[in-house]
Amino acid sequence: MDKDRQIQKIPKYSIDKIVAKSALATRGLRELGLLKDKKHFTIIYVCQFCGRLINYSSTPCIFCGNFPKTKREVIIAQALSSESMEIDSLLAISKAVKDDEDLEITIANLRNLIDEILENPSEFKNYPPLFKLTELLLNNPDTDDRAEEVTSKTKMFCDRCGNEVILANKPCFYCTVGKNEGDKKLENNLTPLQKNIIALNGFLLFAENYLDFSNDKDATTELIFVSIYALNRLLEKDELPNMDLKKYWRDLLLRSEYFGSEKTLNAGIEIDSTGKPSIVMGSEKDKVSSKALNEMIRLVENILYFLKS
Amino acid sequence: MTKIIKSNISLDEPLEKRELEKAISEKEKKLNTLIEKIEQLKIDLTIVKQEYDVKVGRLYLKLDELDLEILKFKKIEDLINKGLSFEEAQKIVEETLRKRREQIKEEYKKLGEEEKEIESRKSISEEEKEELKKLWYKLAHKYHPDKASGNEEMMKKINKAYTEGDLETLRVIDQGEIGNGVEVKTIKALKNKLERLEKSINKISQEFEQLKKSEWYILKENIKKAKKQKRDILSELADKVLSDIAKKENQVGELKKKYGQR
Repeated sequence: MDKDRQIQKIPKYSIDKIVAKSALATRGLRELGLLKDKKHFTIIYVCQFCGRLINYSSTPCIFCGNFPKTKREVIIAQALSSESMEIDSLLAISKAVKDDEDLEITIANLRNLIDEILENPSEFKNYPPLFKLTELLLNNPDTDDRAEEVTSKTKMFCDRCGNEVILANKPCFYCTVGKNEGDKKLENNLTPLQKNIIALNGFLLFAENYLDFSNDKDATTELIFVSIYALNRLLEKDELPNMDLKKYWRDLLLRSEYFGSEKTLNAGIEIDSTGKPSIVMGSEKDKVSSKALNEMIRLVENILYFLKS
Repeated sequence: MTKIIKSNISLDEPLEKRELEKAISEKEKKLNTLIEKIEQLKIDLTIVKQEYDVKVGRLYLKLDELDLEILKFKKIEDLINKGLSFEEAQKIVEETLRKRREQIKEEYKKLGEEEKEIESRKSISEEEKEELKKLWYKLAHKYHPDKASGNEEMMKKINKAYTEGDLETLRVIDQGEIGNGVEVKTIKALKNKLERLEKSINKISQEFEQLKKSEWYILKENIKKAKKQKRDILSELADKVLSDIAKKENQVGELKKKYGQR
């Protein structure tokens, strides 16, 4: 087995549903070479510092601005990638980082891999260029400024209440929900670029924090990959998604059809044949929390904007 | 004029009812076939999963345990380098790893349960297997959640009893079943029924396609393909993992030696 792809397990992750991925099964299938055909739109990584899903492993994270600064961190960055593990494992790692868990315990063979590469770097050809890149970034006086410039674009706050703006095309969520009619007439003055960033970021945050089921898992997985790519382009190059990319995103959303969070929120969204999303909440009224409702409103509003813009 | 229209309705109504009933009957047949197919597939996949877990999954867990053991020594080494004694370091590291060790214990427990199910399946006779299958078909048609008389919890119970070879539970459920009750057959009710059936057929067809994309289906198909070539891929995989286990066991052995078998 390719040593660079040794990490393939997240022991803490297991789902009872038969259609769901199982870490143990995935490891066996990978070992048997039965997962080789699954190619995605791009390669994604989990940022080891903030837990967000990102597009590049060695450059500053678009959300927190951190980047691997030591050889050990470079090796971890490579390990937490879609080349090494399935989306379920990546999402589990994303949560583990956000929960401040020790990744060496979450991925028990990670430490061994790090030591092995550090002891025999010549056996792992991918790493020396990455170590070099890290060195270049560390020595570049512009790195921090550039990182700050990019990360500041993901942080937008309401002028009125100071909370983070979470709805792409509606007035501030915190200033309007549960408030009187006058407040609801507030305006959303964001630029199309900012709105697109909020919409995609909202979708990705939902995927990272809550997603645990989908009618078409492959389509929803691909939707996550495409969203990360598009968000990255928006932040790094100020580039709005083109029509082809939007069409592809919409098709994947249609194919996903019904997805959401069974375990945490007890809610999902259903996409009808025209692409219109609607919220489906858990059947028992007392189980519907305001948190779940707020998260679903955020998701639907942001999807709606991204589809229409 | 009005009378003529009324008369037309009363003449057409039985015809429309008959046509609706015919369409319903066809859809019901289709739904029943789909239910049999999907439930059978779910059971097949559960069996594949159980066999995989017992033959290979158990070995991966062993590998996890060894990885954790290696990690334990490495973390102890880190703390010793920071000036702690072996005993102090061991205490801290054991506490850090406690949660993960408990999780592995839980996973072993689940594997043990699966092993029991495999054993109990093997222990029933051919006649009992036949009765089990017939009863399962009968009850699956009745309780499938997509049928009007459906009951999701009951369906889970039925499938569990089937995979465990638990004939007695299926017999009890069968004896306790309640009749369908009287069905109202107005045109509106028939149209609603037809619509429900169509929705159920679509839903199950989609679910069936999803199952065919699952990793357990991929594994099932590959086991079948390999069997034709007289290969047992699960045993081959188990051998591969066993060789990894042997390497890790050596590594753990060396680490234990280094720390004086403490």
